Amino acid sequence: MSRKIKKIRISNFNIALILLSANFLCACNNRKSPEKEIKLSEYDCAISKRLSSNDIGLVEGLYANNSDYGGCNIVLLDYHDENSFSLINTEKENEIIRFGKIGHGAKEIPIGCTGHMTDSSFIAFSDELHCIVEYDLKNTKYENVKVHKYNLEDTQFTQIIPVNSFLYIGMGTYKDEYQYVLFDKNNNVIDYALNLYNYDNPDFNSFHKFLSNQGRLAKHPTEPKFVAVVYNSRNIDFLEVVNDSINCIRSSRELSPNFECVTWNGYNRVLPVNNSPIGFIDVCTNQDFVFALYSNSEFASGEDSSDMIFVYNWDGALCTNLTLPNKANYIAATNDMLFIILETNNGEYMLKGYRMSSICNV
Amino acid sequence: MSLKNKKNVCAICTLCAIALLSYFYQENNDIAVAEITTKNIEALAQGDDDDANHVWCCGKIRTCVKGPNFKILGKMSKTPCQEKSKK
Repeated sequence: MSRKIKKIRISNFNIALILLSANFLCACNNRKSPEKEIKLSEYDCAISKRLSSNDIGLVEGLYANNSDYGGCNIVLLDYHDENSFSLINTEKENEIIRFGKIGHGAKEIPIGCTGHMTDSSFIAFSDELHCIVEYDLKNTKYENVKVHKYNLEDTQFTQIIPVNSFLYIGMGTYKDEYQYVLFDKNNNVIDYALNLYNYDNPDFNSFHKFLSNQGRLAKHPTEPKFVAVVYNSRNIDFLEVVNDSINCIRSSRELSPNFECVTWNGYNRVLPVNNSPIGFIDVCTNQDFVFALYSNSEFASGEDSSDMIFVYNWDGALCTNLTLPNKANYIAATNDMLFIILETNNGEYMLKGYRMSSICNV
Repeated sequence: MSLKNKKNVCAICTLCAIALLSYFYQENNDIAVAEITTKNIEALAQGDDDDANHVWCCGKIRTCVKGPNFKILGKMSKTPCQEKSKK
């Protein structure tokens, strides 16, 4: 009898030991689960604006700031009437201002420019013409344009954002090895940082490396802090520019893209291998948080929207998993509002705004 | 030379000048931006019979295909693009 009890005791001890070990193993896992999971409902939606297909074409980006005249300014990457961008105000009905004239003239930009929005301007860049173009959104004629030309060797940029009036940070490839470059108005490379995820992979040539490391770079509204996500991945980097150098706050590379490189007749492309996730779609920021739109769907599904937003603080820690009531194509944030744009079944777009107070009590 | 002939010579000279200027303009613009059509990316895949290699470049943001001095804009997609852009 006592032997049996001893056996049972030992087996209980073993189970306890296994559970304890499993607990330790889980604790060692780098993936931190968020503190909160929030599901938004239609009830939380404070702004809902239908954008007619007569007015809006194909939306490929969303930006927002607070307008001095009330409401929020929304900029859409929407090639329309030979202009790249459409500006709307959340409190004005049926008024759409087009800017970003397409062309090769002095104050014109080529097709395909992305941008960055500050509280007073929209800054677009073209890596084809090597120019950064700033549109003053407070000037109601939207023709007040500043153009800066850059000329750097060994760079291919997917996005450039000004750090201040003299410095710029670029995301892309530098010397086929680094992902971020800090340069000044006189075309001096001041600093560079973080290896490309595939910098040492011989299957990737220079063009493949650029194509596979495209993503979105966004800036903190007031401080020289940046966040970057790579498409088709779960890689997110938090950076800070301090004393003319790039300081990595946190680099979280949980799932790098999985591409097959193809070169045919001088054309280079990268193809996601089967079962690759769509990964990060978009990223936006406000004073306190970083919002990253992420999709677990496979690339082959053809979906380009998601209802899942990871909310990080500026230290790079994941705070909240946010679930939207609808799948969003792109997101934008101000300190008070989170905006999403989504495509409806009839091919139109809806702009929706959620109050930060209902999202971020973290 | 009659007035009509003079006009013809003048017109030909003007056309030649325009052609020369266009040529040098093209030469100086080192990047030729390709318009995104479904056709050009399909053409790229003609070399492969494998369905896995058939992709479309949709939209005008991101770079889908790149080479020396050219790129095709668009987000890579496994499904055909929706023609929504307003021109």
